Amino acid sequence: MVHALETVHGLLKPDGRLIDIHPSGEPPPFIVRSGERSEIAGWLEETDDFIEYRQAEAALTQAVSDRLFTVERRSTFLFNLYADTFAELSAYLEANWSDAVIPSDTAAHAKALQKTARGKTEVLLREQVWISRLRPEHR
Amino acid sequence: MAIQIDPEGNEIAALLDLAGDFTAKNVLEIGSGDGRLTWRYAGRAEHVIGIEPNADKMSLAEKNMPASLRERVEMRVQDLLQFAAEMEALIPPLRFDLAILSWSL
Repeated sequence: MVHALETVHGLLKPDGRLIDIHPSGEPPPFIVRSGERSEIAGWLEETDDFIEYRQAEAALTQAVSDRLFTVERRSTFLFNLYADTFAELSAYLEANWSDAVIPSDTAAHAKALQKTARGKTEVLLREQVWISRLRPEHR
Repeated sequence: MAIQIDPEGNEIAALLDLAGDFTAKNVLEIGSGDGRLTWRYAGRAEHVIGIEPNADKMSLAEKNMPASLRERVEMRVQDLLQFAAEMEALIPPLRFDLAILSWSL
């Protein structure tokens, strides 16, 4: 990953900038919403991705330490996926996120919350994502 | 409803906040996937190259690219090292104002 950052460094103009966007690696919660009420049903588990996210973070730290880049700004945002039902969201994750594992108790809890809620419900998966702006250094 | 991905626009808002003005910028997006993020900023940039090693995702991107962006967005099935070698071989080598590592580091 540090090598990838070195490669990107070589592709930038001297006054160019790099924006890196990657998830925090914290397990994303499934949230069941009904009107104003929100409840966490459980968390998504990932087999390998969270390791890659931590490696991405470590690579950025290394690149800054090596004076390849300087971090100019850094912040986080919430990235939400919404569905009407937990089944719909599960099917989407199965098709698009091969590393995602939904614990059976989380699935059962989410379905129970939807079943017992009054009125319309929706399910969301919420990821916390880091975004950084980096300036290339020229040694 | 179908799955809604970041309907609040938090990702593009964060990108615009950090990247600033895209006007006249040549942008490289690494890991452009199906173009989900690309379509949201490309109209503001001078030119965008998106590289994505997954051919299935790139097919989706090609299929879903808004007609208004076809003049300024170029999508390639390529990994970073191949792309960098190709840019290096150009005379003069092509360099970018902004690179975006889009969930791909």
